[in-house]
Amino acid sequence: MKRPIKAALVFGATSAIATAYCRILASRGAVLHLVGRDHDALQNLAGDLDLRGATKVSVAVADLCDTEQHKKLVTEGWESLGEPDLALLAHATLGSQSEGETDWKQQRTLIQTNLISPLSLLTLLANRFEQQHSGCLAAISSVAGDRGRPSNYIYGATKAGLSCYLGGLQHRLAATGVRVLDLRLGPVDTPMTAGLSKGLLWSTPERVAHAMDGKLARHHGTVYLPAYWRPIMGVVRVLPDILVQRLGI
Amino acid sequence: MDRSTYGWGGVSTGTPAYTFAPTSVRDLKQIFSSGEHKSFLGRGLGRSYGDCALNTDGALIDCRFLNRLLSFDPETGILKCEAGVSILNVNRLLSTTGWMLPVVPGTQWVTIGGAIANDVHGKNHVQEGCFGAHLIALKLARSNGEVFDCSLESNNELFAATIGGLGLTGLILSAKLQLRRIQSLTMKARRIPFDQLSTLFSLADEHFEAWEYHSVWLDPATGCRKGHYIMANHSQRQGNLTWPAKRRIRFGVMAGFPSDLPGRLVMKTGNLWYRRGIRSGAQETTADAVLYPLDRLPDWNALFGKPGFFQHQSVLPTAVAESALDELLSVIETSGQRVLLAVGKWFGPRSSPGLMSFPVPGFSIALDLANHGTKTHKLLDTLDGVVADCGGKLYPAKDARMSPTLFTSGYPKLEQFTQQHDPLFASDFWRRMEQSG
Ligand SMILES: Cc1cc2nc3c(=O)[nH]c(=O)nc-3n(C[C@H](O)[C@H](O)[C@H](O)COP(=O)(O)OP(=O)(O)OC[C@H]3O[C@@H](n4cnc5c(N)ncnc54)[C@H](O)[C@@H]3O)c2cc1C
Ligand SMILES: NC(=O)c1ccc[n+]([C@@H]2O[C@H](COP(=O)([O-])OP(=O)(O)OC[C@H]3O[C@@H](n4cnc5c(N)ncnc54)[C@H](OP(=O)(O)O)[C@@H]3O)[C@@H](O)[C@H]2O)c1
Repeated sequence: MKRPIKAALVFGATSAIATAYCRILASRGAVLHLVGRDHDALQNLAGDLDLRGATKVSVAVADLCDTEQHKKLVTEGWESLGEPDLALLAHATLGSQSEGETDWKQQRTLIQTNLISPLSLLTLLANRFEQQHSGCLAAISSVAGDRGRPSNYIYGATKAGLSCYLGGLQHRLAATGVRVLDLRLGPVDTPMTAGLSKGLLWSTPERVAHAMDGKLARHHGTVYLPAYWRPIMGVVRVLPDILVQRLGI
Repeated sequence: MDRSTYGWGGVSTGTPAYTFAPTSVRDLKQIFSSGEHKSFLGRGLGRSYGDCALNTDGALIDCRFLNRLLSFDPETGILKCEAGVSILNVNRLLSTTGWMLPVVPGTQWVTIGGAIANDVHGKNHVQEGCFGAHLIALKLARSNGEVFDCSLESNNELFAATIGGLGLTGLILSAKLQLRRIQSLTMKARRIPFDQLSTLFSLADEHFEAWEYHSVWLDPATGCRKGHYIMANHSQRQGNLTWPAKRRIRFGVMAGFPSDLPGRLVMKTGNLWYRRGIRSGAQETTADAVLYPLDRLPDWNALFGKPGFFQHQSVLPTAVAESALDELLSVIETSGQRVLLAVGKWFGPRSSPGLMSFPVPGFSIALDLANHGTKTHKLLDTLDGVVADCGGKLYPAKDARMSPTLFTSGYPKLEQFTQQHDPLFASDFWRRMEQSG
């Protein structure tokens, strides 16, 4: 089913990419329910979206690693939005590959934030949307999950798990009118990547959000954002192992 | 390449030990209390030419994502926003309400935090003063974790030190600003060509009353002795208030190119176009064309590649401005080096609350020079001599090499300022000024 997104439930709303996308929705007068872990940042964002034209913005504060709270958070989302057209999962953490290699605790945080937390939320959200027979369920994944590479396989593994789960969900819900999207992003200049050297293929939150907007209203399945990552990852996936090692990518 | 390791002019470089982009006060407090960093510095959109937004080996706090508008009252024109909001976004989002920032620099890619930290000026300084003159309050986070609300009424010393404070008093979190009303984005502009410096100064005297915005383009092909005087006013008739969304030509990929030739060619073409494009008499134009002529090519600085370029912006006190300008231009002529771009503005008597603000009444001249190494450094030092002799000063936002002596002589409230300095905030510029300063 294709319908414009008028009511959206956003997890990790203060992330730069989610914020940029919420601003697009706000400028069209959408109703938004934002979930994040910092109260002040969420309040500031709510004020910003309000000024940009959102019809109503509500917020909920939670550490999304605390899966115990997910049920309540989802219920609250439905309470403030009625029947949401979209639930977007944007929270994650990048960690440091080199530190993670010798620090299991860091790896575990990554797995909790980027995989366990979204899967718990997706479980609840999928069932709500299934009952509703409409809506769009989307999570931000990454091209890092397309192939295990020495430079980021810990983060990559969490995103690969997320993408695989979304793929399955999409097929499960195909007949129900619920669309599931795996938004596979290339590198974006955001707080998560502060300090990393930015190259030609990097995008900005605004550009990615604009591209996301085009996809979220009608598509389903895996979308690469920006679109040039589909052919690039097509190549990266089939690169011979020896090259991946040599290039250290 | 990582732009946060370069000044806009490309000459100053400095790699921070750590770059961090907070989106909340909680994030900030975390890095302040981690004890892992020897110094901190906020950074906006990196439009300062030299090293005032660089912090080699310290922690750089990228403020671009503290970019939320907090509130806006369309009755009073009072805007509250976070420090990383860009002037471009204020223009885009609020012009439709009939309000605009009263003072803006020559580019929209500047954050509110950066505009405060350099207490930026516009082409209407004579009438409106600096950015700080329209700042009602600001919120500042210090490295000890404290957050201060500062205004003329409370924490006023910190307020005064932060305006023009080069990011050294702490991290500006948000600001409360008074905007000005506009009827439309249409402007009336007038250009008058002049063929000697004395005419330029008499033109100014003649037109200050009737026009708000004043700027001067000096033609490098004439040794900067001829040029155009440009004046503009907001149209008083109601009209279009939608900020134009323009396609822009981008050059980011040229950063790191081994030569500055593309940059020099583009500047030459620009000057040529400017010389030809003359239309005197009043004409209708738009606010973005008058206020941000260089924004058509947003990352034009990349065209100067690895060598980069310098900008020497001084203010020459009114009484001696004409003779001092004449001397600056003669020095350049004698050196045999060519100015790439020369633009001038006037500063009026309206004072800013900022202790370290650059403007004093007089004529301010910005001279862009290609980087030819020692030869250019020598020329710049000689120019400094002229500025010092006439009682003038240089603008830190544009500086990559002035001496601590010139800095100290230009900023008489330096000592008062130093008392408000956050002990853990520092920049490459500041360390350079402290050397033998
Ligand atoms: C094409 C062009 C035209 C220009 N025209 C003018 C002009 O007409 N008039 C004028 O005055 N200037 C002009 N400038 C200079 C520019 O306005 C200033 O350098 C301005 O400070 C840049 O803002 P920024 O956001 O890029 O800050 P940056 O350059 O990143 O930083 C500037 C300073 O602000 C500090 N800072 C930034 N954010 C914060 C924060 N949140 N808290 C504390 N400190 C902070 C930094 O530490 C640094 O000291 C021009 C620059 C360009 C490139
Ligand atoms: N940037 C890239 O290059 C890139 C590339 C591919 C995919 N992505 C994905 O894009 C999404 C958005 O990231 P971004 O780039 O916009 O980075 P970001 O601004 O750093 O956003 C990450 C967000 O996740 C939130 N978060 C982390 N742990 C949390 C927790 N336990 N509970 C609640 N919230 C938590 C953070 O909240 P706080 O603000 O409170 O810390 C932050 O808002 C992520 O899923 C990321 O993996 C990014």
